[in-house]
Amino acid sequence: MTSLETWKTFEPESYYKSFLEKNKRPDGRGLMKVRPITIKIGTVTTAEGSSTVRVGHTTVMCGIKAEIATPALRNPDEGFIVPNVELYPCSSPKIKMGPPGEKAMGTSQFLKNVLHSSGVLDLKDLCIVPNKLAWCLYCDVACINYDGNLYDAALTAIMAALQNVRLPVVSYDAENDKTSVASERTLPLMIKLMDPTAEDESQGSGEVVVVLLENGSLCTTHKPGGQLILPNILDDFVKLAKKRVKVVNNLIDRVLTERMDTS
Amino acid sequence: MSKHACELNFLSRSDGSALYSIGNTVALASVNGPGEVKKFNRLYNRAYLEVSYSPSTGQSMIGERALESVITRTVEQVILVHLHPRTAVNVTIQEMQSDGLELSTSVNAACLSLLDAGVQMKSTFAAVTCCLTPSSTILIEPTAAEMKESVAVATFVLDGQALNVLSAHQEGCLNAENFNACLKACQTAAKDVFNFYRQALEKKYHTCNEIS
Amino acid sequence: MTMKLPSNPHYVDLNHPQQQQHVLRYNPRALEINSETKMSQEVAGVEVLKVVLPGDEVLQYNPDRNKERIFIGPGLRWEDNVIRATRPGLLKKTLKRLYYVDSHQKRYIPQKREFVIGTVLKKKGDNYIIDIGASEQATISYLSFENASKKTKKEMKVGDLIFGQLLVANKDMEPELVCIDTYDRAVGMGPLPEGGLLFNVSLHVARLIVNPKNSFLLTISKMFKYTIVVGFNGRIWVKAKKQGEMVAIMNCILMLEVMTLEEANENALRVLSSFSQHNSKEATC
Repeated sequence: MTSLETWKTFEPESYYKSFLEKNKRPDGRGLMKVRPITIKIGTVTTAEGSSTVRVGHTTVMCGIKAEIATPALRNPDEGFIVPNVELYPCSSPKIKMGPPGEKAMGTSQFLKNVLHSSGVLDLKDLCIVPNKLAWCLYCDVACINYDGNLYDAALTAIMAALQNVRLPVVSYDAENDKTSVASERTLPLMIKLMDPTAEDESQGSGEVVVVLLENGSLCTTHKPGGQLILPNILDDFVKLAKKRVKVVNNLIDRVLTERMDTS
Repeated sequence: MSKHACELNFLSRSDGSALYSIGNTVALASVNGPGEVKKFNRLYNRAYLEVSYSPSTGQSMIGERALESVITRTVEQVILVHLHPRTAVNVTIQEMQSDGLELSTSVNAACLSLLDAGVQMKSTFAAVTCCLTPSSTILIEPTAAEMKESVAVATFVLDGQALNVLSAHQEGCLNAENFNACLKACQTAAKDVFNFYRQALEKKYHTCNEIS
Repeated sequence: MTMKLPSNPHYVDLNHPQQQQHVLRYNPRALEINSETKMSQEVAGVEVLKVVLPGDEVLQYNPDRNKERIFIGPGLRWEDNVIRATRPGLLKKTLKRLYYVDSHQKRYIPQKREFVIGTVLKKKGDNYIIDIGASEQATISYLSFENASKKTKKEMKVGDLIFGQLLVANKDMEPELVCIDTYDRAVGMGPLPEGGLLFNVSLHVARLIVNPKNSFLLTISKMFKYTIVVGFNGRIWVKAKKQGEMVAIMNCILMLEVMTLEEANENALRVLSSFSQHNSKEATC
């Protein structure tokens, strides 16, 4: 073991502090610098919509499956959107096989919260025939390489995939109560592009504080209410990605500390 | 603000417990520890904290697990975990009755049960929920019905000294202005909650035996 | 000018009034003698300041500027020249400027030099593994008993009760018990005889009843003759002639959990007499 590794193992706090004092991270990246982001859409051909997002080494795949379901009695003119995050054991040595862990569950709940409260997608658009048919979108987010900043990667992936969704046109015959799906014609989903990162931010602020205090070194940087980003409306996908980079700049505390957790 | 009520040492067998209610939401929290820890949870430099939350009806689902995770991370930064290495602190929260304020009630119940157990902490903490109505007024500690009508619901967990934010949870969209207004309102309300904590503990310690 | 700052948060200064009470295994008569001699020096002069909550500022203290030496006891933390409470409870101050928080707890955290009652769990090599109600099991060497040697080992069965003193109590080490003092004498420590009754109380109740100023145990002794052993880990062992008497004493002591001392003193005789009447009736039947 080199002396640097020994230092890192035995005195992690002072090891990281020494880098932070010089506004650098152990991998040479500046504190305000974001890792490169790569986004690919349509990576899973069997899914209705899909994307692969890489933030540094964090790799997340999102596939959206659409199923026809009966709307809930409470909201007869609304469809469903069900996000689910999975962290595979291959993504990190810390993750074991078995039922989803706290991290995966927390991220799923977070995505659900963001999708429902941001109004990114009007659930009414998913309704085919009120009280009879509606789309149920299963958004499965699989993390195949976990190197921090899962929230951002998962959210970007899900947003990218949602814009990639092509749903077949469904015609409903009320007399015979028969449904036919015309598979050749497709219909893109109407997505109101609200910047999800604003949401991400306000949700994430709690996370920021917690993680920071765990590492003990940056807790003083925390200022209540200081982490809020104004929600911006973006038009296209590339712009969204670029905007996200800027926002992530402001979110650097979190990136940094999550990075610390994994490095 | 809704009425807060609490009863300390509600359970006889656990190391500390508290029954806490805000309005019609009631939660019972019990603390055991620092005690024996399972081998795979054992941490060499600090205590292991486990929070489990069970809803009043049905099984614990993903929502409850996320709630647990929020409470765990909040409590974790307040307890002086490094004082008790290789131990476990278990916090169990049972929702007794719900009127929308599960998060703030269970956070407050957890705090009082930790105080009752005498677990060493950096400071006290309290959660306050507020909601923004469509007419842009802020309601502190709304009922479930009021929350349903509202644009956004935000919960802040604040610490007992400087009223800094320990964690924040938000549903629905808020702009920066409203967010800050919500935070201000919650900070004001939190002062009353901390006064309430103090009264509860003064009551507990004033009835105790003194020999001098 | 140096300030004594304990690195271990559970560090208890010898001046700590609760550490001064060695009256642990006695018949009521012995208590009387002890109570007269021991307490007047230490327990007197404890000043109750206020109820504090974790995080409350107790006082500002800068060791470079403040000339006055102070001692910080349990439940307090010194950080950034401010002393803050870490536990809720009554903030107290002794004449020797020892500040501490008297807090109510049920969970025992081992402290050096405290007397505890433990249960033998198993034998492991030259040691016994003892449960003292803490997060870790304590050990005791079979040699740390009075008159024990390699040839005359102290044999104990699983489940036996033992009254000992903590020699090692440290957050990083497993606690170790001894049943002898520095002069190899038992001074009341050792395995507890058969036929007693063991029960648990809150830690503050245990501290309260061994407080030499407290006459509660004497009140009980007006009714029955009994032996009592109080461990600081909240375990109390009582032995009296009859089973009923032991139960009566247990109930009396458990009253302290919910009552003030005055109330308990008033009720004690009533509880005890109801038990003795009950017993005498049984005898006549």
